[in-house]
Amino acid sequence: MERKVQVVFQVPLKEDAEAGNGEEHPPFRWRLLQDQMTKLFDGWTEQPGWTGEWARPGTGEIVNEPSRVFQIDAKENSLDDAKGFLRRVCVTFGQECIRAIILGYAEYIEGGPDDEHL
Amino acid sequence: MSIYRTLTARSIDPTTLPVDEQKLFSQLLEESQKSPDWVTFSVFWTKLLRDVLRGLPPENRTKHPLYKMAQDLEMRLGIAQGAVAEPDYRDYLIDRIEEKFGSRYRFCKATGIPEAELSQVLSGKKSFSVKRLVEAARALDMGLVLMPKAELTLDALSEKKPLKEAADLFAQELASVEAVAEHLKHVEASSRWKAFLKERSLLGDTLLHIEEELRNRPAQQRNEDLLPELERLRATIDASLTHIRRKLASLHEGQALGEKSKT
Repeated sequence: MERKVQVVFQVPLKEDAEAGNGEEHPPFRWRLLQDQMTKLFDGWTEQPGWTGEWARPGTGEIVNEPSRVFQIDAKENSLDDAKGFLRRVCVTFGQECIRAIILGYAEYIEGGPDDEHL
Repeated sequence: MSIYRTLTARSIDPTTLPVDEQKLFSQLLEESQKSPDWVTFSVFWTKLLRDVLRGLPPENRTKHPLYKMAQDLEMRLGIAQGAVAEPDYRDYLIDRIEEKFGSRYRFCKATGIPEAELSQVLSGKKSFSVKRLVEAARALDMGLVLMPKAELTLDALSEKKPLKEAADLFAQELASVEAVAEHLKHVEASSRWKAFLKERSLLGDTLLHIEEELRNRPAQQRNEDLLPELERLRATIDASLTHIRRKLASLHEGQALGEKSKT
């Protein structure tokens, strides 16, 4: 059986004030995120009550914002696909980047102009 | 068990589910009515539905009626708790694309709308032009409507809204009648009856107004079974009025007897 690695990532409850409009997300974004996690990673695990705190890349500014934190199991040899998924999450949720823990390392994943909506 | 309507007005009939799944739906409803934190509810439903959904291929899990309703209840909680925005036209668009075309790719191929453009609209970076929106709506068998803003809120579209409005008005009117009754203990007998009857007439007008309002509502906002409810409310109000009238009559008699004994 193929080994899977744990990927944890956080999605702020609001769009980024600079990359987006700083407002709460409409329901369809959360719905699409759950649908994609089900289809691509066979589901997800979530811990209620987590909030995110992270340093904004570039400026180092500490950002503390209510977030949902999800955990998915990604195939070890398809981690690039998982990162591609996180880039799309970034674009969908209007974030500058998505903070994720992959193989124990914190990564800040940015979406690009070629990354589509979930 | 009545038809479940999602935030995007999709109807799901829970009675078509197997009995054990209907029980799960009841559990979902019961839990959501306790108004838990929306994320806590998310954890609850994913755990509750795990066994039912595990047996299905992942792409079919997201189409399962229980999954859809659980997800919708979670979003309703999120909206009520101020953590999720109210649905906008994109919610309707994406839901209808899934329902009618199965994928955004197929929708874009059929309509000629570039996928990148749709993607930017969904992420809020761009908006459709009216022309494009009309094209999309036509392909989805949808229409565009301009409505008063007040009627666009979730609360206004709630089936129970007319009933709540009616109940609030009744409560207000009844309170004012009771206040008048209380006040009339201290005023002259003939004028108090006049005032009382005036109040009662106001109440009657309010009832008629609400009833008329309910009948004139667009079909999607009207719930026929509210009318019997209205009748029941009217009966309750009438019973209260009878009670107040008797109370006033006995007060009147008491006052008249008192005046008689003075003479």
